[in-house]
Parts: sequence; C-alpha cells; structure tokens
Amino acid sequence: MDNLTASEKQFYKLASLKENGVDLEEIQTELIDVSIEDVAKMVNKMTRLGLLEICQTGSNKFTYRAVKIDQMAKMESMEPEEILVYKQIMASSDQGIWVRSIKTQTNLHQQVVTKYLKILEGKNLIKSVKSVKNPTKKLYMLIDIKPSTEISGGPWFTDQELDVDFIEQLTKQCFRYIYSKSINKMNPSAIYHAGHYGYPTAIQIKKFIIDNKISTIDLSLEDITSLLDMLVYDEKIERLLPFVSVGNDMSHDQTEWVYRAITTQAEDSPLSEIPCGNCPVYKQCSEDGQISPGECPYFKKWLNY
Amino acid sequence: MFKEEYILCCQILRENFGPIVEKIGSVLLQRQRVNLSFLLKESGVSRNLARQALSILIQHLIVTYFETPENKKNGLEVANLVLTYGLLSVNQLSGILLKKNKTIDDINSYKKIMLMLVKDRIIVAATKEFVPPTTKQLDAIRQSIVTEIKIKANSRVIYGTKRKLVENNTENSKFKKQKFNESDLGEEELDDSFYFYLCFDRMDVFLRNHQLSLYMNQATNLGGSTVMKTLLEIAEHSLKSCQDNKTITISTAQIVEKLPLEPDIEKLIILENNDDSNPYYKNKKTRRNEKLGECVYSFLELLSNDKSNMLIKTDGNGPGQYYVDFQKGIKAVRKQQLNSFVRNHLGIESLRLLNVISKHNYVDDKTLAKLGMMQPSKCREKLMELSTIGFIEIQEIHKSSDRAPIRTIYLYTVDHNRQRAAFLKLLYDFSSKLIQRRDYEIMLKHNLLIKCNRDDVSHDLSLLSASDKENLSKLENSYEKLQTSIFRIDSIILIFRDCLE
Repeated sequence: MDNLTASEKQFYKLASLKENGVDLEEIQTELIDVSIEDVAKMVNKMTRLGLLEICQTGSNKFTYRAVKIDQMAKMESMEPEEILVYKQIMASSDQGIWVRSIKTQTNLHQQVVTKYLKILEGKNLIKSVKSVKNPTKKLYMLIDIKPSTEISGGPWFTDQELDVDFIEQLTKQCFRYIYSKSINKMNPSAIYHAGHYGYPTAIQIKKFIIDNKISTIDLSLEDITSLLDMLVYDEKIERLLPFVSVGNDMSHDQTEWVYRAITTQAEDSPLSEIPCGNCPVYKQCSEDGQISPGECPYFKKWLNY
Repeated sequence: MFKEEYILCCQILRENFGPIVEKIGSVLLQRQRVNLSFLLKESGVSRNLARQALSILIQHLIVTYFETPENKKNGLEVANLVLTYGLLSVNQLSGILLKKNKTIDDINSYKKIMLMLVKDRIIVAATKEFVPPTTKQLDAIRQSIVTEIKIKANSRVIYGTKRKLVENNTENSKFKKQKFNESDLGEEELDDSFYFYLCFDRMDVFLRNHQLSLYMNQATNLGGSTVMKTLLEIAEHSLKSCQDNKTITISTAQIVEKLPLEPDIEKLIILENNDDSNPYYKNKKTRRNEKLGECVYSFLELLSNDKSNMLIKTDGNGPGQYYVDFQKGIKAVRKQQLNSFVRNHLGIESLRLLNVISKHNYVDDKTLAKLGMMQPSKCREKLMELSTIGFIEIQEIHKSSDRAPIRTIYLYTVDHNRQRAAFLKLLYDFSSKLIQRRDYEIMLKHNLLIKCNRDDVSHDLSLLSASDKENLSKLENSYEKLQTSIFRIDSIILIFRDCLE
C-alpha cells in the first residue's frame, strides 16, 4: 500500500466500500480531477499488485472491486492458475464448490485443478467437506468458513453423520421436562382439567434447554419443534391446542401449541402379550412344520410363567 | 381368503363338527365350488360320510349348493324344475318354458319327457301338504326368519314376554293391583310360544363399548375411562348393533347419577383452584355432591377435546349434552391397536415412520429419514419391514421409460383398507396358533382327562395322585391363559372386521 499515490489510495478506498465494486461512472463522479487515462493507469497498476480485480457485470460493463490486504498477501505467492482456483473456491462461500465445477468455470485441465487444490490444501487455505445430501461428493471451501446447514445438515449432524446419541439425549430431556409439567407430583395418577395452562410450549422447552445448558450447540425454535414432532410421532407426547386460542381465528402456523406427556401407559395389547407377537420366526411357524405352536419353546416358557 | 383365515376356519370346523366335516369344509374352502364326486376324490371321505358332513354344513348355513348348468338334458331340466318349484303342473311347466323363449315344439317335447318321468314314477302326483319345501322355498323361509328376527331385535317392543296373569282372589291381590296401576305394565313373564336365540349383534355392542372405554383409559386415565363407560352404559339400551352411528345424547347429570362409587374420580382429576369456576351445579341437588358433578364435567371436556374426537358436545351452554360418534371412536381404537403392535413388534422407529407416512402421505425415504430424524439406512430397513408386513404401500415413479430401479423414485403411502386387511391376517394367524397350542396342551394330557372323566374320579377327585392333580392344575392354568388370549384377540377382530367402517 505504501507505493500507492494519494489518488490511487482514494480509488482503492472507494472500491472497497461496495461489495460488488465500483464502475467507471462512480469513479469519475467521486474523483473529479482524474482523467480516464489516469483511471486506466491506476487500474493496471493496482491489478498488477493484486489490490484490485475487474468484474464483468454486463455486456461491455465492468466494475472494479478491491481485494482485501490479508487476501492479497495470501495470493502474492500464488501462481495465476492457483489464484483462479482459489478465487472460485472463495466465491462459493459456505456452499462449497465441486471439483468439476471449478474445472468448468476456470477452463483449466483436471490435472491442473487437482494439483492446485492439493497445494492450497497443503497451505491450509482451503478444506474439503462432504455434503449430507451427497456424501460421495467432495466440496471445497475456504478453511475459515463454516459450511451451511444444507451442507452440514444442521445441529443434528456431526462430521456429516447423524448424531443419534445427541438427538436421543436431547429428546429424553425434552420428554422429562414435558412429563414434569404434565403430572401433579402430589397425585401422579390424576390428570389436569381441559383448561390447564401449565403445559409447556416449544419456546419454553427451548428456554429450558438453554438455561440448563443441555446442548452446547445453538438450537433454533425449528430444531426444537422437529424434536418435539419426533416425540409426537413416537406417541410419547401429544400436541394440544392451547385453551385460550380455541375458537380464535389463528392460522395453523401461528398457533403456539402446547405439549402434554402421555402418562398412562397403553394396556398391553393381546398381540404383544402372546409369544407370537414377539416371535422372530412366526412367519415360518405352521401346525405341521418344523416350527409349530405345539413344539414352541416360547409358548412353553409363557405358559409356565 | 388369507391362508391364516383358511387355517382358522378349518380349526373352527374341527372344533365344532369334527374332523370329517373339517375335511369336507377344507376342500370347499380351497376349491370354492365343486361337485360331490370331486369332493369325494379330494377329501378321501366315503360318499355317505361326505353327504352327512355336507348336510351338517348346509343346515348351519355354512355351505350352499346349486345345480350345475352344464350338460343339461331335458329330463334333468324338468326334474330340476320340479325340485326348484316343489310342485309343478304341466301348465306351470309351459309357462316357465315360454318365459325362456322356447318354441311350441320344444315345449311339447318337454311335456312328453314329463309324462315319461311320471310313468317311470320318477315324479309323482302330490298335493301341497305332502311336499317338503324346496331349496328355493327354504331360502325364502330362512330369509323371512332373518328379517323377522332383525325387526324384532330392532323394535322398541321387547318380544318374547307377556303380561303375567294376576289372580284377584289371592291375599295380595290388592297390593298387586296397586303395583300394576303404578307401572301400567304389570309383571311380565316369558311367552311360551316364543323360541329364543342369542343376539350376537348385541354382544358385539358390549365388546365394542369395552374397547372404547379402554381407549379412553390410555387417552386420559381411569377416571376418563369410567366416565366413558358410564355414558356408554346409559346409551346401551338403544344400541342394537355395531353398525349404529352414534349414541343417544346424554346429559352430564345422567352420567353423574349413574357413575359407580369406585373408582373415586374426584381423586383422578385436578380442577382449577377457583371454586366458583363452574356455577352450573351450585344450586342443583345432585345425588352426590357438587364437586362430583364438576369432576364429571371436566372429564367430559377432556374427552371431547381428545384427538380421536369421538365424544361430541351438542349443547354448548352449561354442562351440555354429549353423544359418542362410533365411526371416529372405532377409527381411533383401530389406530391405537395397530400402533401398539407396531411399537412392540417392529420397534419405536417403525411406529414413528408409520405415523409420519400417515400424516404426510406419499413421502420418499430421504424426507422420511429427515422427518423421523433417523439414519437413511435404518430408515430404509424399517420401511422394508413395514412394507413386508403390509402396513405401508410403495408407489413407484419412473424417471425414464426403461423403468430402471436406479432412476425410480419410491414414495411411501398408507392404504387404510389394505393396512386393516394385513392386520386382520395377523390376528387370524395369531388366533389360529393359540388354538393349535390349546389343542396340543389338551392332547398332551389326553390320558389324564380320560381318567378325570371316569365316573368314580369325577365324583371323588381324591382318587387322583398328587402328580395328576398338579398336571391337571397346570392344564387348567394353560387352558385359561390361552383361552383368555383367544378371546382378547377376538375382541380386536371385532373392532377391525365387524364394526362400522
């Protein structure tokens, strides 16, 4: 930056103000005493130094974007092809970019792209991540960028793998909290009346998780709702319309549901009570077959119980 | 017919009519429609025994018969007409043939054949009094009996009873007369002229209502179940079969009146602290106290807010009036039973997936894994299990015309009728296996049972040895356990098969 003139410094400052850079008209408006030839000279000099990059925004329309100092320092030692690859990766942001996309966009040979990717990885400038949607596809992004939830899968994924234990633990805690709010400790066999206000909402459950530091990961309300939905599908809890909003004109999305734990256990189904209900080979069982109800050891055990 | 259903039918036939009828019945179940010679060949039973077995099955309305229309000859046709109509005159024969668009020549030839049959004494002159009813007449008689029984069963008047005669010159005649005036009916007794039969439809109503009460026990607690049971008991007199849509409307006061003392439902619900919250019972004289009325009202509110939506409040003001929508109730009980089986047999992940599919319908495995928060591989495994058992269906959408599996989208959905059929199949299977085991247990202790049935032993059980007594006790326990399970499964079959769609 030291070898730049005052007008060049002003130009660089102007170009770094806007994310997409500035065009010629804006430069001429801001830098009144600078001619077009001077602008061309300044662009050439700063491009050569790696401080400026030219972007084409339309037919015969260009903008000039400033390159940050730290990025410039990184790219100083890079070869032109390496810079091309690096810039493509940088542009992909948190979405990452596939090697084939780099090849198409840079018009470089596959081997060249692979070579520079390895070099960039060696310099710890980029990293490869696997998408949850396509685990076989390797995506490249800058080392300091956190992959988007679409790529990483959100809080439920650790190293692109569904963290079942984490989900299970969190679900258990949610259920315990809802259960504690659904029963009266003085009289556990009793049930609250229909207008009871004490059942928790998703927001309250989220607050409980944050307050008790159950999760180290930041969970949004949607994440908590998806956990609660899972419990509803498991028939451990049920979702109720809050008593106050009954009859109100609220849309389905606006309704703040409350959750109640199903405290009464279902009476044992006769199907699960008999041995056939849990038998792993009941499909092979027949009256005259090798496996038959007459010779069944499970039946024997059940009848002697 | 499911294989399981066939096995169960055979077992029922064997249990009720013995092995020969079972053999004949099994051939008919397998082959549907056969003639006697084929039946003899397939079953290996002698002609006489087969005929006896068939007559038993026909008498019990399990088997029907009809004549094969193939290779009919005129003589056979005339004989069949005589059998069908019972009594047949020549004019009637002509009339029937004319309706069949036969020519005059044909009719004449039929008349000649009829004459030949008379001459050969194959058909004889008779009057109506001496001729037994034909199949057609028997069918008509049976139909009219069934219709009459249905009318009587659904009538408001109770048939089969009559007013008892009261003698005026007895000591208590004054009292009896007074009693008669009070009720306007007098004492009733059974009418000798009536025959009685067991009304299975009514029995089914009790079993169905019991299942609905059990459902409410899970949805709320024992208190909710008791209130539901009481409501259904009040309405039971008006329910004739499981095809009824709903109960009569019942008021909260009626339920409070009929509520049993046990369990104490006041301890089973937590009301609001505000004592003046419900003013409806403040100034009313209920049989028990005001709080009981409030508890019942609160339970009714809970039940009517249940997800099954089976209890419906008709009057919004005050404690209200309620009725039970059986269609919704049965739907909820079916879902509960099915889900309970899936949870216990296939695991909670399968239950989760089944519920997700039921809610969203036509979902692919990736979305299912996301909504169910499961590993995609495990999700696919569970989906396959559910699909194999018949609880979910797969809809294939081919991306290319070659229908390659790799370029096919698989969507999962639930067909409730097929799901119900698959579950019924399982129920039949399990029921059949329980019966098999029960028979096996009896067979094992066959000698002991013969010994117990001996006159001397049946009068004095001390003649049995200690080990015999122990074995007998074990057999009784096993038998009871198996029989109870059979009955329990039977009550679920009722819900899935015989109740309102």
